[in-house]
Amino acid sequence: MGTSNAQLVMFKPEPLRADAAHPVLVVPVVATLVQGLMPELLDRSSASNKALDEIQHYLFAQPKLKSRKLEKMVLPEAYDTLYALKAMIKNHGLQATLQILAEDKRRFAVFLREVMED
Amino acid sequence: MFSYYFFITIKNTTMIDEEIYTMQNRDAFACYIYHKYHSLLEVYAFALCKRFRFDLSYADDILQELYQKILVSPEVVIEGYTQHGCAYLMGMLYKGTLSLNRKFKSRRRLLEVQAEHAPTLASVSHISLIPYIEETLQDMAQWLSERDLDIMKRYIEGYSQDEIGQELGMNSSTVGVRIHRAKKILKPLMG
Repeated sequence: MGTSNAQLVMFKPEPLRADAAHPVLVVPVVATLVQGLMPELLDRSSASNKALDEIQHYLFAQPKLKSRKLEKMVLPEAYDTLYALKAMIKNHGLQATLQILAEDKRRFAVFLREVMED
Repeated sequence: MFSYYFFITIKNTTMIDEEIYTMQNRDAFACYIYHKYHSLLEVYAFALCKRFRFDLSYADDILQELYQKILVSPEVVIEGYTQHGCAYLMGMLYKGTLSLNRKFKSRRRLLEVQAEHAPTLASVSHISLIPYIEETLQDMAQWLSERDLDIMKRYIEGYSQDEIGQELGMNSSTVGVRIHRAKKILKPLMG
């Protein structure tokens, strides 16, 4: 499929799950999204693998930001999230995107600590 | 802070291993959401900013509002989360974005009718526009009929013509005409 598996495994903020149902689930945001919104895709069926393949292809191989095919396959919230994630990956690459998100998360912890103390 | 101690067990059915999380207070729940979903929610907030054509920096405001809601009404959010999982949190973000969009519209419309009573763009996401709206309505009351004032109130609150029409039982194009006429009357008087 021409998908960059190398790019996928380059950044490992968490240990790779031995039972990961699909390589694209190594990306933490995708894993959380699938677990949270589309847990049925984790059943390792061929239909689920096809959908996960499509997500992987969309994020790492397809040049265009829009994908009618993916839009029809997943929930609107999931598509919107993948769209924004793809835009970030396209601009910064996967590794930098995950680092940006991790940094933003650390920064947000300061806000959360402050409001919890109020 | 919460004056009472509540104890709730959440079975997050959306997780692969169906771990059972025990929440002892609102802070624990907020931290749980932060650790588990923050990055996903941030990317979704970016997506919403793109969709509504906001600057991406507003994603922080939308997320902050979500955490504040979790901390202010944890029981409500825990119940919604227990029933719908992270889709509920994403729905909260969506509603927060709609509300911010309405505030931007409201500011633009305040400027259309009365520039003095509009907040700065930078402050829109952090303040309530109600005092600005009320002050403007008081000025408008001198010049408009009660019905037109009803329409203009909703208009400067950021509602669409369709929404105003539905709420007041009017055709949306009639609403549009009355807004146009009201603005025409107000322009030389309030500008």
